[in-house]
Amino acid sequence: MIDDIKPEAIILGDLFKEFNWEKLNKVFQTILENNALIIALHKNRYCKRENKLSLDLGPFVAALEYATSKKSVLIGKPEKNFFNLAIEEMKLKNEEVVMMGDDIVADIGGAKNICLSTIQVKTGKFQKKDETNVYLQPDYRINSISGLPYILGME
Amino acid sequence: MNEEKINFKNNYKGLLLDIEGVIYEGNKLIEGSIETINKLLANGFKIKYLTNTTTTSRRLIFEKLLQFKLPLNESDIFSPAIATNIFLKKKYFKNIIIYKSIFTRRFY
Repeated sequence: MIDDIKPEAIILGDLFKEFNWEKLNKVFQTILENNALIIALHKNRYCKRENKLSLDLGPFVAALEYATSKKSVLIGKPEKNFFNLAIEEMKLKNEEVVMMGDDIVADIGGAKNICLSTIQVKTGKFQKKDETNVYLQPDYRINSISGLPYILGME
Repeated sequence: MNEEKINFKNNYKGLLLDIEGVIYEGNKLIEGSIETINKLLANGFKIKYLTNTTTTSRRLIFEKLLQFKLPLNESDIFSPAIATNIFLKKKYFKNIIIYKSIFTRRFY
């Protein structure tokens, strides 16, 4: 399908199990032949799939960046732009917004980059070692989403 | 880092809420999700549901959340594909053509 077009940009999303050498190689060639911009929907290293930590889109983006010696434009969490665009859509200011998530890097790190208040839940992708992460800590950490109203002073 | 209440001065008006692993895990809703979201909405909070998922469209995410009976609109969901669309319009290209390639067939 991408044989007949000369893209200015290639947008990379996650293909999960459909990633394979042929597809990656085709994309690699297309980027080089057209000097195309690489736009990656995100660059997360891993996620939870079928109950186990599994490769996410990030490692494949990194492979293409390495092969082409290009740096991609990143869109999703933890990119500042992603959070800023979401807040813009809410018509709120950064200091009026709280971010809550399970991922210490994508959710907490990303939100902290634009100075949002952050809450990490101990569900989903949360790992015990997050609690001792020297570089990155949320403002608050709660057992699950049901603890949020209390933290926000609603009960 | 502590588990005390945030010094709540009525200054928070919005919540960016990650979906997977926070509201549900696998196919199971995490206990208290609906009650929490309803309480926030009743307190005038705006909620934007943030996901990094690129394997399904916003519509499918919306439908899944509706099955869980979560009170939200499709436009409350914010994904990299949605952000890319805004980003491309704002910064890079005047005309956007989305080709139905292997990467874009479930793009939006």
